[in-house]
Amino acid sequence: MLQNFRDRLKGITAFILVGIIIIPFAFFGIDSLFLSGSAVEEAAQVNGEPINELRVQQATAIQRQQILERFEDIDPAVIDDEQLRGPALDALVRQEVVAQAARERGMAVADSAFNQIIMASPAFQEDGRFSRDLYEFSLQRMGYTPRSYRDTVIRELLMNQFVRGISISGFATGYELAELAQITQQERDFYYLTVATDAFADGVEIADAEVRAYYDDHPEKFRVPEQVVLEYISLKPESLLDRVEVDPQAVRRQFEEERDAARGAVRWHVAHILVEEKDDSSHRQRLEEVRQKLAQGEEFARLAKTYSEDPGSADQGGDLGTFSPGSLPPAFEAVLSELAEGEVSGVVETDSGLHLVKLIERSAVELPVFEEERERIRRQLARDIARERLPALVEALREQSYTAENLSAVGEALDLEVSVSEPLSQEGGGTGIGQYPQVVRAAFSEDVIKNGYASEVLEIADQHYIVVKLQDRRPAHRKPLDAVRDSIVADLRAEKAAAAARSRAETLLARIEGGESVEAVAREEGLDWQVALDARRFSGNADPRLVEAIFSHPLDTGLPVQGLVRDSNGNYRVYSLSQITPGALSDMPAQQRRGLRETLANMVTDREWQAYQAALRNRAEVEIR
Amino acid sequence: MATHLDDEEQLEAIKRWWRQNGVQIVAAVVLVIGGWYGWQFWQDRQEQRAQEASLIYGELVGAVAQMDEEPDAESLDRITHYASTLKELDSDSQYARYSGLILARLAVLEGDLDAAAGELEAVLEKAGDDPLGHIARLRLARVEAARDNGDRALALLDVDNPGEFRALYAEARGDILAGRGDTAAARAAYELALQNLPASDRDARPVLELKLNQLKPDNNAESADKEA
Repeated sequence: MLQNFRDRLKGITAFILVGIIIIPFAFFGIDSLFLSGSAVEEAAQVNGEPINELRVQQATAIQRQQILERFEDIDPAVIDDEQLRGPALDALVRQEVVAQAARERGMAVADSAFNQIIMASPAFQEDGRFSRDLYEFSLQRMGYTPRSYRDTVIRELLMNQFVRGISISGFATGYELAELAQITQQERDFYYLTVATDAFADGVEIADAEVRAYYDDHPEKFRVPEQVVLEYISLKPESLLDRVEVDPQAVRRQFEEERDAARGAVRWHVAHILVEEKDDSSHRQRLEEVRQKLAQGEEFARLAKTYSEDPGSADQGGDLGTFSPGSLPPAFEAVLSELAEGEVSGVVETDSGLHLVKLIERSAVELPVFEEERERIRRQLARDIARERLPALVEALREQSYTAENLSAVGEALDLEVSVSEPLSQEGGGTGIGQYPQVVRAAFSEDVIKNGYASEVLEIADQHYIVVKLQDRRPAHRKPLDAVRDSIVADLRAEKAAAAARSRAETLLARIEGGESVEAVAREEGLDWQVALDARRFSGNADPRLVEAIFSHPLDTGLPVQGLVRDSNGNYRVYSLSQITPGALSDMPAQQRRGLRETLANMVTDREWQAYQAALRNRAEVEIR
Repeated sequence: MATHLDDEEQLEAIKRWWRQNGVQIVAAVVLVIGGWYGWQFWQDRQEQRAQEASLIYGELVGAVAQMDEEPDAESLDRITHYASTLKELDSDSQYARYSGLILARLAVLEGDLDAAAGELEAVLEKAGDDPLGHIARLRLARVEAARDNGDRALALLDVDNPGEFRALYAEARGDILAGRGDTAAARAAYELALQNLPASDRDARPVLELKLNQLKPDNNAESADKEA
């Protein structure tokens, strides 16, 4: 039957059959058929275009990296990928929406523009030049294929093009600027006196019954959320170091290996003259000149100063410094191992161009001493062993803790330290294990908090595992009255003092409203008073709450107008606003005016863009899975 | 052998069938494949043109970004040249519309509000139901107001379905009304803008509140109640 089939394949039918299979390959390429689509799970769809899970993970990883870069001393385990995922997916959807909109509207990214960006990116450069190997290696490490990476970059460039059109075309008109200047440049004159609250605190008596009543009236204020105390086992290589025995023989062997390696090792002191390759091969002539002069006995260092096109070393007579094998381009090293001290090589070719290499000095590496290296080697070997043993221990921990009555037994069986956490609420935090979001999530999961099982063995960072089990559950409760009495008394006292100060301030305000001046009233009562002239909204050193109150009176209010405000220190200010001078654009120095115009234009374009983006997104068909 | 004979017969049948239908099938296949290639070719061309335009757009954006407050004639010429090239290449593309918006900004900068209005008018017309139309309309209204054409401006801002642009429309209306001294109407417009301000417009809120505050009736004797 099969034979039959093959025979017939020679005819017309074969042409049609094979054609059907081949044609899609010809049009789409193999890569698209096998790498995209159903191979990877879909996280969302935008107008039918999938966003796969891999992209979401890549975006999450990038965000994570950005957070780590921004906050240098943060513990990576504290960053919760689950929390990053939502925003990352959201950003991807937004980007996809915009990229599609851009394409639909005839936007594109030129191949040359893409290539330029890749070539110029320092991430893909080796010795200052683009390296295709490094490029492919980096992509692979990030989980990209060249194609998916290209798509990602192009989406970003499209989004950028799309945004820029809005943002660079914005403007502010004259009347808008005038309106803003009228507000920000406006000046107000006012008088004020201060009634200090502290002065009323001394005589205040607080009865027990009041404290009780306050406590009863504010249950939420003294609430402590539900907390758990966990017993836990934390496992990482460091915690095993004590129990790992290192064979002294092995330490010795390792030392001897290192010593032997060092014995043969050399260090090269190297100089070179670099000539960059030119299209017209004029570089060959240049190099020939150098070689002739060398042959005539001219000094290498002098020639390097004149001829070398390596700006870093030319002035030093071509001196590059001292290197160990393995740190220089292979072509260089091959030559160096053959050269005698003081000798100059023939032409060496590398990515940077053509070189003449001189070995200035070849020196041996100083041999290590056992006593000085022993402890370091022992610890290094112990760590290696601990790392090797960790997976088996994690496995054992997993098996035993799963069914364990309590973790102490597990700890004993596996010879691991069992610790007890501080009380943790669902908010987590603190310096103990509460800082790890996975731990907190596990602690309040139904299995742990309700059923009393041990959690799974949580991998909270590379090579760091924690398993937790509930030891004590402290339900949400109210702090007892005795524990908070003092703070209630203090609160009540402050409250009463403020009320007394306020009522006094109100009396004074009434007098000022009745026609007395701020100054006269303050003098009579022995209070502080001040005057502020030409005060502006965003400058000056008056209390911000007072300034806010002064400027909250509208432009056309009847003057003078009086008021009362509690300032940011809790004291009362009684003021009288006597004059308002509207601001004008011409009051502003030219530079400030420019700044205002720019700020205003940016603010408007920002909002236009937000609205545009929202509109596009709302029109798109977005499905999140 | 029976099977062999069957095969022979089948082969005969296929040949016969091919003689009857072969031409049509070949024609159909050629048509389909030809159509495919034609479509591919057309798409490639479109993509090619879009890519070319994108490079010019890159130059345009760069030139505008480098421009300072009082641009010299040379940079204005360059910008104008790029922008009009993009408009000619494909007047329906986003590049062409953005070119119009950029030329409008340039005109505002030079105080030529008539020209700015002309550019924005053209973008508005081309935009169709693209939300970009709202942006062009808002900008056009502001330019009309700036050249003392307040009634036209207010008419432009009177749209049935502002959607995501509601807050921007309301604020633009408020600005124009406030400029005319129509305090009550301006206040209502600003309040509408505040109510419809998206959460993402964090910076806009304080400015809007400042503008609104200027117009409110004075009820501030009670300000001491606003305690922290």
